[in-house]
Amino acid sequence: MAPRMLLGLAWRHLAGQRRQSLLTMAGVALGVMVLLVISALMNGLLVSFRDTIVEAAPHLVITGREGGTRTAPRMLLPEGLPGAVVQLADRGEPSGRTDIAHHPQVVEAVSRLDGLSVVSPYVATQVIGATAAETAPVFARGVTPALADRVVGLSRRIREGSWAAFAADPGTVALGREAAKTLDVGPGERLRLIASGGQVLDGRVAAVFATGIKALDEQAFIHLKVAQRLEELPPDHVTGLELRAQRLDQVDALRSTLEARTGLVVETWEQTNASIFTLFRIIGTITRMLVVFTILVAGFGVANVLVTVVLGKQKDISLLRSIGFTRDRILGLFLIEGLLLGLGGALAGALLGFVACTLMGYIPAGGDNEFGDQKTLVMAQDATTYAGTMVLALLVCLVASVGPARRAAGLAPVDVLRGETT
Amino acid sequence: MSLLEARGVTKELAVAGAPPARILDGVSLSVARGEFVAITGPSGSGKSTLLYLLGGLDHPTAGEILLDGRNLAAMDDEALTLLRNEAIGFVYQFHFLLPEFTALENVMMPILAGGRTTRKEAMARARDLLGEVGLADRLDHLPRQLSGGQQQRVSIARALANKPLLLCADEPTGNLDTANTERIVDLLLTLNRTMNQTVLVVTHEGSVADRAGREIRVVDGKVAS
Repeated sequence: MAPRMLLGLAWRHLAGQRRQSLLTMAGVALGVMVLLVISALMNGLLVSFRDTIVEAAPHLVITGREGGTRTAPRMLLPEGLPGAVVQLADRGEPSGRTDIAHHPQVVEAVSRLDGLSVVSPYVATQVIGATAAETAPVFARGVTPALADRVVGLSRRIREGSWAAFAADPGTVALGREAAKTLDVGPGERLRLIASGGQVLDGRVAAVFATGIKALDEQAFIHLKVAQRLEELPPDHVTGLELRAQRLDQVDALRSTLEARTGLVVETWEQTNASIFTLFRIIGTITRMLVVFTILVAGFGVANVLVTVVLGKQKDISLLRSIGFTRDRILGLFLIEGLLLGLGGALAGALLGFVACTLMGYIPAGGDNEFGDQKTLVMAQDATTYAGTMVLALLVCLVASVGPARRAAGLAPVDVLRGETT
Repeated sequence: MSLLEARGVTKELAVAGAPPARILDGVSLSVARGEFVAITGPSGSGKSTLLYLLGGLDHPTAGEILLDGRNLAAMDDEALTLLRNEAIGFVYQFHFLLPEFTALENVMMPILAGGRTTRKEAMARARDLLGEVGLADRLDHLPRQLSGGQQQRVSIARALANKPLLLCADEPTGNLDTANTERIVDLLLTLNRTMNQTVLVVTHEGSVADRAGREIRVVDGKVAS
């Protein structure tokens, strides 16, 4: 039998129940649209965050300490007491120094590897920042300004002052916006950094930067040699090396090579931010699950319409059976009806989803936050998500139509005809 | 040689909480090719049930039904469905036209369901048949746009769509006025005479039975004459 005929029958059955069919398709469309919008929002957030990280954080970090980059704990500070005596709770180093010694040789060896564009040694240190007005703990990072800029691109993110001024004078500090706010200090003003060992830098703020990454914006950048002095490190000792890869897809391969060659701990940007990416994934999965339930509910609507059609069309079904429609054809007819409802809903939902995502892309996002500095919501749409969502809707509708279709196919024509004759 | 033969056909229907109800009890009959046979009997006598069994719409509880040598009682549901499409046409008391389809499409339906011809051929055949039943000017009308008599004529055209061996009509005039009853019976008789169409008509109207070539009377599930 011509599939066109079954399609025509299915279409006219649904057209006969126009209002109910349209409502059901609207339910499917709504589910599809919401799922697409949520996916675009979640992916957009992830992409935005990822782009910010990729732009402003090193792609690879080499340290001499197992477990990744060294992160010193915050110091305990009595609030509202500027200049008060502070106590270091912990230096964050369980046992001994784990710095990289003879770093120039390591840098040279690492730089020879293909695929790396920058290798920037750094010294991380926890210091107390003191200004005329405030005293607060600051995480300071000693770097070679020219190299560090190529890794994290801070010169493009200067809000006040100048990166060049910082690069030119080892006695200056480039402060993150959050740190500058905490210390209530701006370019040209004096800033004293006091290390845990008592070493002091009496410097001046040369620049204030903002990356959108809170952890980075809470830091102070100082010159490498100054940091080594504060940490009382020999000149060839550094905490680690920050690297930028030429291509992101090479980062994992580079990590393995670097670990094998140096025997040091190498962490990729994805590993460093693994917890937040995992969080994104969990939130995304939960949200999508909730929306998938919406589509499942829409599937009940499809089943409902088809049950109504089957009940209302018992005579027609019996007639079709009597003129040569086998049970399988009747089954196929109602499965096609379910698919038509699903297809209509999925197409409408995809269109609505696209329009909604496009319009939402104009909504102001606040910008300059943890998740990037975009001025509007980032809606990441991709064909795979659209195709997957539409296939899901079709499958739900197909499954929902199996019950009514089986019921229709199981009708014995003579039972209905017997009831209709006198 | 008979086209249709029933041998000891019995039909029982299950009744909840009671023994099965015997609707037909050992019916035997034969219908020759080209015969016009009226099956008559009082209400509840089992005449419609007999027609459904002879037309392959249902399986007998016992007995054999041979149509052109093929035993309908031994066929499974799918084989019986395909046989109905090929060899049996049905006309019901209520026309049972598909309401969403035009007269032409309704007549094309069994032809397309058989899948043995192209859509174009099916359309030509349906158009011819509707012309033969006097509805050449109603091809694109929906059932609700036709009178009761016209609807029944469309259903006769549909029953003839696949050139069936056997035309089964269950009270085809039961819902029509006298004038239309005459026209439908005339049409069935014309088909029988001009096309040698074998016709089985269930009726409780004497005027219809009188015009048939033979009458089979069913009483209490048995053939009475």
